[in-house]
Amino acid sequence: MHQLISSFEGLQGKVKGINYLNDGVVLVDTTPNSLFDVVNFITRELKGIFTVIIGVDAREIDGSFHNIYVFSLDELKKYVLVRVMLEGSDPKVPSITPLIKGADWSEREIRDLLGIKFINHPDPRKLIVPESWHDGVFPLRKEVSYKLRAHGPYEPYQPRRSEDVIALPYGPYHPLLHEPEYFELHVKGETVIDIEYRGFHVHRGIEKLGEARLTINQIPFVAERICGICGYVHSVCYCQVIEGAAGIEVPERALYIRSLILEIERIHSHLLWLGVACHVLGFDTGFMHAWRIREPVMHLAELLTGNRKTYGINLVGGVRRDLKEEHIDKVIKVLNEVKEGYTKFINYLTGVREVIKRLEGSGLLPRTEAISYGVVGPVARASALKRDVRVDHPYAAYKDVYFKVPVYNDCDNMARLMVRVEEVFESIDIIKQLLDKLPKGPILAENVEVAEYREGFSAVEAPRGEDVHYVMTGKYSRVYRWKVRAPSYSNIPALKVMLHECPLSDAPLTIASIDPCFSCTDRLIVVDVNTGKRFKVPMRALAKGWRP
Amino acid sequence: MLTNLLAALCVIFVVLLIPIIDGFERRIRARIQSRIGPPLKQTYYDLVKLFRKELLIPNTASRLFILAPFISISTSITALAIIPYTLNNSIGFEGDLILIVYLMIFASIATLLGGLASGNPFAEVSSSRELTLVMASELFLGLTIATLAVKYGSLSLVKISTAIVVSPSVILAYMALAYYAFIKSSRTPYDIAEAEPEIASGYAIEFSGPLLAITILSNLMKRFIASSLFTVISLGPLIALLTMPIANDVLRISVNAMLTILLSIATYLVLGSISTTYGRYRVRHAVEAVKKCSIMPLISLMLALLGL
Amino acid sequence: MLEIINESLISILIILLAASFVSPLMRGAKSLTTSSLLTSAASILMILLSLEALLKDLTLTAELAIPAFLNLGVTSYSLILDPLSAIFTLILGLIGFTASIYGLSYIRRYLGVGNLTLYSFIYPAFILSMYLLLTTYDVIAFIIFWELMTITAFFLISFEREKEVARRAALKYLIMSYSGSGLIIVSLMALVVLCGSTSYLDLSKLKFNDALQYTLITFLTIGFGIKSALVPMHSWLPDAHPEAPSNVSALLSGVMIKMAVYGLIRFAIQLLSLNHYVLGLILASLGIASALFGSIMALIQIDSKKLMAYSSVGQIGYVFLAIGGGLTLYPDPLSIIAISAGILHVVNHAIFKGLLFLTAGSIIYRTGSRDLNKLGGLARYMPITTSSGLIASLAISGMPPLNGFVSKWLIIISLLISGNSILTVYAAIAIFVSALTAGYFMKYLSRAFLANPGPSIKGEDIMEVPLPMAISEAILAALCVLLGVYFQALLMPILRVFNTILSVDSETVIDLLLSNAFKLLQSFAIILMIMAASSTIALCLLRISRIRITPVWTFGSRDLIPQRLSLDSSSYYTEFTHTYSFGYELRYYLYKFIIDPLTNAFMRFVSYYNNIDTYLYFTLVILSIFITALIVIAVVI
Repeated sequence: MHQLISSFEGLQGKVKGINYLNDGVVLVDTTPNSLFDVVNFITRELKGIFTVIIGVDAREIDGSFHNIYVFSLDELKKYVLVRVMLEGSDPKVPSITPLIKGADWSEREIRDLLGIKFINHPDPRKLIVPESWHDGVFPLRKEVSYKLRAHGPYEPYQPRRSEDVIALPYGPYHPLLHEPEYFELHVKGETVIDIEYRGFHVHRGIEKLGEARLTINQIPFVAERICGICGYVHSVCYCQVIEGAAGIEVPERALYIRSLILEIERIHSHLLWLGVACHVLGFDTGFMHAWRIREPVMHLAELLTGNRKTYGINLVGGVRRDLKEEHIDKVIKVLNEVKEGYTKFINYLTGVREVIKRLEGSGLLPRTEAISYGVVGPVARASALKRDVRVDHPYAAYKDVYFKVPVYNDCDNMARLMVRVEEVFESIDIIKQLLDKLPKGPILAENVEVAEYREGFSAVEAPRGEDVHYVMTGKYSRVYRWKVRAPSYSNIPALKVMLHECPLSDAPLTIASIDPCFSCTDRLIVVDVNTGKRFKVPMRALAKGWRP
Repeated sequence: MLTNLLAALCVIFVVLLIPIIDGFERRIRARIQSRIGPPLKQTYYDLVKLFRKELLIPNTASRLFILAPFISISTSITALAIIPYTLNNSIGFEGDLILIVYLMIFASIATLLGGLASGNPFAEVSSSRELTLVMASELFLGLTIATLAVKYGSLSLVKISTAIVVSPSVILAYMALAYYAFIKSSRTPYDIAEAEPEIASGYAIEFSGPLLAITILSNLMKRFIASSLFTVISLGPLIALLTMPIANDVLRISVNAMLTILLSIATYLVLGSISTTYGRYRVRHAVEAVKKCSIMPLISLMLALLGL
Repeated sequence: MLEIINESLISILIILLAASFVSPLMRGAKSLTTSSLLTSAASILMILLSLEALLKDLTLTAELAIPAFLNLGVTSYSLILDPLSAIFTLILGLIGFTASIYGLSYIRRYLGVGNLTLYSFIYPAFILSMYLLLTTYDVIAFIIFWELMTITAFFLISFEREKEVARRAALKYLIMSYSGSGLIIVSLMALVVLCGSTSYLDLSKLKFNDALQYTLITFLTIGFGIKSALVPMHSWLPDAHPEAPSNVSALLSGVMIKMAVYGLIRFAIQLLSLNHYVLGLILASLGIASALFGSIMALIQIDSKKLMAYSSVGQIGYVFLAIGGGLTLYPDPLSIIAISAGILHVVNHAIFKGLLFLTAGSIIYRTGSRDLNKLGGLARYMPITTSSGLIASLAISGMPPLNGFVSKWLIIISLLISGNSILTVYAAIAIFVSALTAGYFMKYLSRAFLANPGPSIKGEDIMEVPLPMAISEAILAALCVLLGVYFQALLMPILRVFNTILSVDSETVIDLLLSNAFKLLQSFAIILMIMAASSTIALCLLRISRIRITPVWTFGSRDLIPQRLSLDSSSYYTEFTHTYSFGYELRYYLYKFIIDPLTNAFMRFVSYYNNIDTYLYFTLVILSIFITALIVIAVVI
């Protein structure tokens, strides 16, 4: 750690202060003018990869807006948070998008939600808020109520396309997509030349909700509902943030249980993805078999947590439900069967010629682009980037288990498939190791107390990649600011590179190969765009089948 | 007279039977995929349901949109009428094989025209793909038919299906016909025109209600015609040989018809099961695969011309 | 064969002369109307006369007395219409009629831009030259009218004077035609010299030795091949036909090309006793090469008329394949069927290609554009044109029960069961070409009529074409359907004609065909009945059930839909052209190393001079060279 801090000595005048947030997170304060130098230093000298920009309306604390730029230093196993304080009345900061392509969305989001201006940003269109949202209302600012629906003049979305390009709309409702998003594929013949993306159709306002209505202890349950497949990671990550910020000591057994459930979630998520990928390839047989193999895993989850999904066992300070002895044997038995069936299935799948031919060589994401966009998870590992939060920034019980991180150099769809395939085997292995070493003891920390205005930051490896949470605690057992960055948030912008010169038939496959979880990605308030009306619908009416 | 009546009965029977054959195929496909699958009469239920639904016409569509599915099904039924299930010499004429080929092309084109007439860009993408496949597979078929013409000396379907010529080129031609039936049936891996995930059903995207029912039925008929063509040409001689002892004419052609139809159904189901194990081809792969497989009928034609 | 005197033959001549010389006196739009009406009247007469000659197996003659003071050496000029000529006169009349009626409205488009007076002079002259070409039994007259046809066509192709492209295309056409004509003239003059008389009847009694025969056949084939755009002598056609006004394109593609087929049949087949086998194979090979080439080139075209021009190259390939196949099979009765199928295809092609060019013209008339990338969605505005285009495209693709199917079916059958290996392979390829034809005409239909509107379509002034144009389209479309169902009407007379010409005993084969044809008709009737019945039922049903008009489905985004909701025509079939790219590469090298250098050399030579004299001198020079060569050969051998 000292080594890291001393390396910042070179930027004497630029850096105002450095301190630790916790054991693996360094907070560096700087000014807007020196921002570029610090960022350049981190990305070039320290080889940091961009993660996210967090915007905080801290005017109640010190009269300014905070912009926190997060970088991950994988080799040094640290996160560097660069904080810039912007004055409250007219916050402006130069945009780093020209340097780092991955910062594009973060900056647009902060502009939409907090009203901070980014100078020289190449793409000033709305990202999060709908077209009919009033321009001057910034939902995440403290003075804006979470119940507000601000209607302004409707400006249709301006897609960027060149003159005589043929654009094929792909979404928001498409038989292939499981969640609504809009991809516009610009094609020439059967090749995609470019894409245009408009997402955030299911923005639910979770972050604002967290600030406005929920207490610190209620948030883990809401966090779990951020995603339909990988909700548990959000819950764990959030709990880790609070535990880090408040200095709470989580019992070992709880950490092991959390890791166990996380790995079960990884297995079922990857198997689901395999089925979906087969379906996209037109190979429905593979789809059906993958999900058949997945089913016992869901039973396991139900056995251990009481639910197939959305487990609801996390609390700040530990878990709510313990692992019974008799379950452990069952878990190992089921996992062995799953492994057997899975091995057979993978051997069969990798022998189907059509599947192989279509996966190889399509959807290329070169390593340099991958670094520039800051991609995470299997997408990164398939592009020769060895990034895995479980190894780089170990959390929960991962320091005690040994596993391999599969990295492929091919950078294509096939590589992403193989990474996920291998990860399932690794996960099964990890679970067995965890069950072997499971310590006895309490599962929940006693007397949890969280102080005010403490900052916390943590990351968890979701099946889709690195999931990052940031919390600044507030008064009365609430959070002041809660920021979630789901892994797909970093991966979707990289689609622009992957879909370039891609045959049209492989476009859906490429989109599916990053395993996009749009529910995770979209997070804020939803307004009824079509009619512009807002509804208060009582629960009873919904139960009786009310329709708009 | 009676023979013509029997032939007509065959056609009606087959047309009514096609949905349940599809039901069987769906069951088999489900079992291979470790599912239970829909009830056998499911396709009937689907078609009846579709007929009762509302018809939505896009505002960019022309009248051809409504007319095209009917043209498609008319040509399909006509093609069915020409296939000699009864293997009887009195129906059919010289060159009706070519007529069936053209009718099948017409049926495909008619469906595509309906899709194109809807004004949806995905229909254009899909019809471009389907026509690419049609063009590639017609070369394949042309060579196969040429082989048959050379070896049998005739293009009458009845003559081809009752005469027995055993030689390497003919065997190869039969195999080529089987593959052609596979390509033509628009099943994975060759269902590039209707690729649901990629182009959202392609030409069928705007059809709804009764039109969709007719289109589905027409597609099913196209599959059955392709399988029947293979059965009648390849297995017809065997059937004719088997039933030759039967003296009563009417009985013999009835048995012929039953056997032919049963074997067509069997071919249909076998091809359906095979397609379950495939993923979908990219368009380029599909065309290249057909081009590579065209070696088979080419060799058979060469052999036939050499006298083998 | 009965000979009957029919004065109407002369009436046609007079009417056309009047159209050509009198109407220009009226100037402008009036001259256009007069010449079009007069030409249509003459065309109707042509149709009637040729039907009479064909169906009743008659030869119609008429004699014109030539005044002595003209000092031409002959006292009378005979117009003779025998059944063979009648076939071609029939298509001349049909397409002439519809093109003239069409031109009534269409050429108005050139008011103020083009020289209408010139048009009203040249256009009837064009038709007149072809008419006279067909009705003469005199070799010199044939040559003269052949040249006249070439020159009038030149003026018509270059009608849009100010477009550089049109002028170049017309020039290229003229030079290539002249080269062809040169060869034809030389061979025919040789025949005249050797025979001592200029009448066909005398020529047919001639006997030659083999070397001379082969030379003459080669010259005639190349000469007529250039005119009918047989590969590799076709390169003028895709440039010239799109540039002419659309009704003239219909005539060019539908009739003028077929004049070469007529010439070949008249001279090579009827007058010379030859080695049928070799000639037949050469013609068939050139034919299938044209068919393949034309079709694969048409697949990648984005200009509607150029697509059709390449299609013409392809379909003429079919005709030559059939004729060549027939010659190869001689004296097998199948040869009659093959040749008749080819000639039936000539007639059918004239009808549906003429119709297609007329529809393309209608599109140009209303939108001013030939570019398929920019058109689209015309079905709602131009229903008659769309239906005609649809029928014509289906007909040319060979879809039963339309007329194209019959001729293609006959060609393929006769070649497949012929027993000749090469012809069988060609027939297999012909099925492939048929699918290609369907492919590129689907592209035309889709991009021009069915898909969503492109940039060229500005809503206000796009509506159906004026009545004359619509009527001519409807007539040809009706003919497509009629001749598809009642194909015997034309097929039997044509069979009879060739039966006589080639003197083969094919009664039995024709009987066999008849019984088949009857059954074919039965199936066609079934198709039509089912279609009619189901469509009627369907349309009635739809009135009962619920129908709702909705916006086209773009996956649920109201504001996110792209501006252009249709595909680019250059994006069609990219996978196919990529996979079968060897065809295109072959074409590239063929052009690069052979065709383009030759054409460019010609053009450069001629463009140094820019007046009529040069062309005449050029012809004279070539002629003299060839005649000298021929005389040398004749003397030596």
